[in-house]
Amino acid sequence: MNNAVLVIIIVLMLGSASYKIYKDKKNNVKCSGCPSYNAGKCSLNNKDS
Amino acid sequence: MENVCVHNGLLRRNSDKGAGIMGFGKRRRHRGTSHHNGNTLANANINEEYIIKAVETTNDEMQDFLFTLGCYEGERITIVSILADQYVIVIKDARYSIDRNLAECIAI
Amino acid sequence: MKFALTGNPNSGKTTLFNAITGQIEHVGNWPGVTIDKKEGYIKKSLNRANASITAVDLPGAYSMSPFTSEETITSEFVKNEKPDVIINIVDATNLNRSLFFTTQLLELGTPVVVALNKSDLTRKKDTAINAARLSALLGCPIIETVSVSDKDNGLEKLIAAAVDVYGKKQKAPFHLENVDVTDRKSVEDADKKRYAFVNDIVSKVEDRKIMSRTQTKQDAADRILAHKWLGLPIFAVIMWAVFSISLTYVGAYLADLFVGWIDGLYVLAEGALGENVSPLLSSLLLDGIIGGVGAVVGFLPLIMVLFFMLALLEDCGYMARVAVIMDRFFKKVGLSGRSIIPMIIGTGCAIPGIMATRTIKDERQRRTTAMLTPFMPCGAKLPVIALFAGVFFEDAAWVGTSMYFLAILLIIMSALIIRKITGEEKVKSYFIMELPEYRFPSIKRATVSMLSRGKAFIIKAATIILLCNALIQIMQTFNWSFQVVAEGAESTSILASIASPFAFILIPLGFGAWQLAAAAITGFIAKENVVGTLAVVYGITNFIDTEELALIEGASSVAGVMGLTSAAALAYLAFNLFTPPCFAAIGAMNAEMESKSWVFGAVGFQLSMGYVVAFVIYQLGTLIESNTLGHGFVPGLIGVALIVATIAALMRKGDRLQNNLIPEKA
Repeated sequence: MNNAVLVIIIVLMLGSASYKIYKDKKNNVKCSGCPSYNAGKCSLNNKDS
Repeated sequence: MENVCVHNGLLRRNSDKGAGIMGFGKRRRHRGTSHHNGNTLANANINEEYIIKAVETTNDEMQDFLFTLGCYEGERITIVSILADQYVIVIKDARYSIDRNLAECIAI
Repeated sequence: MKFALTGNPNSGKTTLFNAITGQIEHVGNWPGVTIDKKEGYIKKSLNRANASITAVDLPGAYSMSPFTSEETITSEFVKNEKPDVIINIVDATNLNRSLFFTTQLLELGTPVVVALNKSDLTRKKDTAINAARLSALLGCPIIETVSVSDKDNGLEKLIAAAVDVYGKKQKAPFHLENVDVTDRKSVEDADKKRYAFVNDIVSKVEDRKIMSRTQTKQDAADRILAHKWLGLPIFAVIMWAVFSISLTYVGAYLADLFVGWIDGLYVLAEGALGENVSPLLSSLLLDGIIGGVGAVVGFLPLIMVLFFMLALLEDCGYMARVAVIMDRFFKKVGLSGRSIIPMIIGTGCAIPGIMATRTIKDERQRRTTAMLTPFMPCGAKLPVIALFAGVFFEDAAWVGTSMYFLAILLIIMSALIIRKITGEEKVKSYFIMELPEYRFPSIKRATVSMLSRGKAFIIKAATIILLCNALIQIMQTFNWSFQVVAEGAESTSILASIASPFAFILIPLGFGAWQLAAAAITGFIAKENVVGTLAVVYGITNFIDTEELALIEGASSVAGVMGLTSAAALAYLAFNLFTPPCFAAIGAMNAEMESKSWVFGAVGFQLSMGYVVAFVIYQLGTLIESNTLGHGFVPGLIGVALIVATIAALMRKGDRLQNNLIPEKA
């Protein structure tokens, strides 16, 4: 495997993680995937559900 | 917010007097008093069905809340058990746990 | 079409909601689990109508006259958002009280369908309810339902009936004119008449063989489980059993298997990368991302078993009894029994716990509860507890149990201090809580709850934890001039230079290494990060299979790598648990407290509390362990003394405030 492929993999991983957090923040989910309550949908003005 | 129960003062004074004469200092909480106005749920017997005479909390919200549960004068109430200072009571068909402060506000 | 689900607390609204929408909202067998409205679409298999139907699950209410804010949500929703149909869930075991609310709902002019829920329980108790007669008397359809069962639960009929009444007019069976809503007396008289009407209906339709006031086995169980002296030890034993099963036995066994797979993935990735890639990039992927996230995810089996057990406990109705036991202690420190509910919710996650404090009317009590709820070890702190229990104490169940009880002790002590600081006199508060019936916990519900929590755990690990670990890996690889840190000069890295000043303050607590300080700091983003960061900075891939690690690391085990004594390890654990929670929880505190000075006070207080507790544990532990004082005892003592003095001064100020108030009142 060469460096370019590895960089793409890492950027993809970090990118998708950031995107998910960004999306959650936009949907006013207070913490992404909070481990215990309502499958992470514990936010007040939850537009997701 | 101060939720002092109006019945409380009356009850305490009576029981203090009783305790002074009889010397049951420690026991007075449970023996209570047989003063006809001071009979509250706090000194009622377990497993006996009572009719509520009055519910007098100084907290209107609590009063309303108890009302919606069916706890108001004329309704039946039973103590199922006493756990520490918690009274397990049955109103209508549900069991509730109430504390001593609240029990003292329910005159029977 | 929009259906609103309403009913008394603990009548099974959320269970029914989950059943008709296929969602997985949190349910518990005690009142007040739902604190906010939740929406979902009704499942296709139940929906025979062509239009899509939204169902809204509302918090429980006993009546339309609001007492707590949950009830306000219900009455405002029904009045303002005008749902097309109201589905009123009536607890068939308590028809009398439930119908009081039903008659109020019928007056609103929105079509109502009654779901006579828990109808299986009434049959068990030899109580017969004539549903047809009831329907005729109330003038609305009545459908018998059993929302907890999969088959024959009446839900399809319920939805069909609700679609059927859509747009139709119903006549309220009970209506009083001339009620002056501003006059208490008038409202009360009207409500008395309403109750008389309900009593009349119930006497016509209900045939009850066993009076509800007869003593049952449940009452006998209550007398033991909520006993004055036995209650607390029983709670301790139950918690210990939960930890012992999840951490020491079942969970540990599963975790061993699971960690094997993660290690396999690590080796696989290492092999796939080959020799030709830049070592920087490969270590970012292997040590930073896979290692860090893997270390956190490795705890997944432990956490899931623990969640499963806690869900069983909640489902069987025991948690309401815990509230009853704790009320006595909480009352002594100026909190009420209501404060316990947020704290029990807080064992899952502090944020919904803090949000649940809004049911507390008294402002000071609400703020104090919001401030103290994060002390309860939440789900995110469990991996940290599991890590330290596993690495330093051979998976001993007492570590987890003692952390819970230490949390309760701290909450009680803190409440006492806060009451002194705010200078308010002892209030006489009332406590009332409905005692739900014990029931055999459902394995299915517990499994569903476990899986949804497990899923959320993975999501968090793959997002926030992953990002943080990558960042930590980069920060420890480079120094400030963006050159790669040389082997042996790790303390020049960006991470080390940021964390070192903090580490200096932590010396008296027994863990003055910059690595540990860095992990504690990342813990504020999310507590699982403590585990991830430790994995990254010490280059450890898993914390579970310590024997294998011992082989990799030569003679030294993980405990040796971190260089902590058991006293210091326990102190570090306590420090991470009792310092301020994650930022998200602080945000929630900010929202509920509605006061900046309270929020800052709370964070400052939590920091001092964490510091003092860790100091006491470390120094006392070291004294017992080796008969000497730990590192930096004197400076630490000065720090602790300063904290104590500040708090004492604030308390004295509060006292004076109170003394000044009394003459004013008189």
